[in-house]
Amino acid sequence: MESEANRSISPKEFKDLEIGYKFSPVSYELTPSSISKFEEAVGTCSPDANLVPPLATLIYAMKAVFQCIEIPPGSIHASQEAEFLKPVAIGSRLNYHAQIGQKTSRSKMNIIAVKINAFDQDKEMVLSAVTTLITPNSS
Amino acid sequence: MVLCNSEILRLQPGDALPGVIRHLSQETINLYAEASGDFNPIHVDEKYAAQTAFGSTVAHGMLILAYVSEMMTQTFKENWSSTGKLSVRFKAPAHSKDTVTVSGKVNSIRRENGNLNFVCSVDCRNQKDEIIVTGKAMVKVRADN
Repeated sequence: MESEANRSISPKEFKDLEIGYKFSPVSYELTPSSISKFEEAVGTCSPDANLVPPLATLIYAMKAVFQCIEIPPGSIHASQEAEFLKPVAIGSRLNYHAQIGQKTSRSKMNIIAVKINAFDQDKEMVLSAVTTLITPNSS
Repeated sequence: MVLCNSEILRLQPGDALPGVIRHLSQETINLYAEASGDFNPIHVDEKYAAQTAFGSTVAHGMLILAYVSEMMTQTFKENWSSTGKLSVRFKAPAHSKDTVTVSGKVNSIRRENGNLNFVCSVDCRNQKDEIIVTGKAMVKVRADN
């Protein structure tokens, strides 16, 4: 069964996000089906059939967390940091904690950095990441 | 090409990592959109994208980054999934018919607490040799592997 991230959370408007804002934790199950979709798209197979490719862990973290933000149209993914701390088995359900790490507003654009930490069922951190977006300033 | 443990430990500063080449297509981008849930029209709507500054659909940055991670997995195997660090900037879009070449080079190797700490430069270029993604990747490997 395909498990999706918690959908009960309504997206937070971009203007309401301040530095230090913590999103409600969300979870996501890395099912064989979701990993197959990732591998088909990327055109690769994990060397270990039981483990999630590291970048898939990050991509599904972003999928779970970014449903909590209303990202303005025209936004650009400017930079990405990631640290992979522990291999993740396919079928694991991860819990994601996200926080606004940086928000800078300029005349025509905003820069926003979202920090994401992912934890496995043993509450061990498996991934730490920072996604930086440049968004158009509509105000 | 996948390196064996002894080959990893023989890497020296200046050595190139085994590269990855991918030919993008709209089908690939659509598959990635399905996987990631990111259906931004700049990625999947050719008519919409043609009217933007990009001129055509562009690949998701994380799809390109997945190719970087593939190179690091091929080189450093399970060490990448347990100790890998990545820090990159997305410099330019990759368009739907681009050929992306991922390359990397060992910049330095530092021995610490029984580990070899590799610092590598990584970049992705299109067929015009323009940089799409650039940055660094770090990984620890047990020295007695």
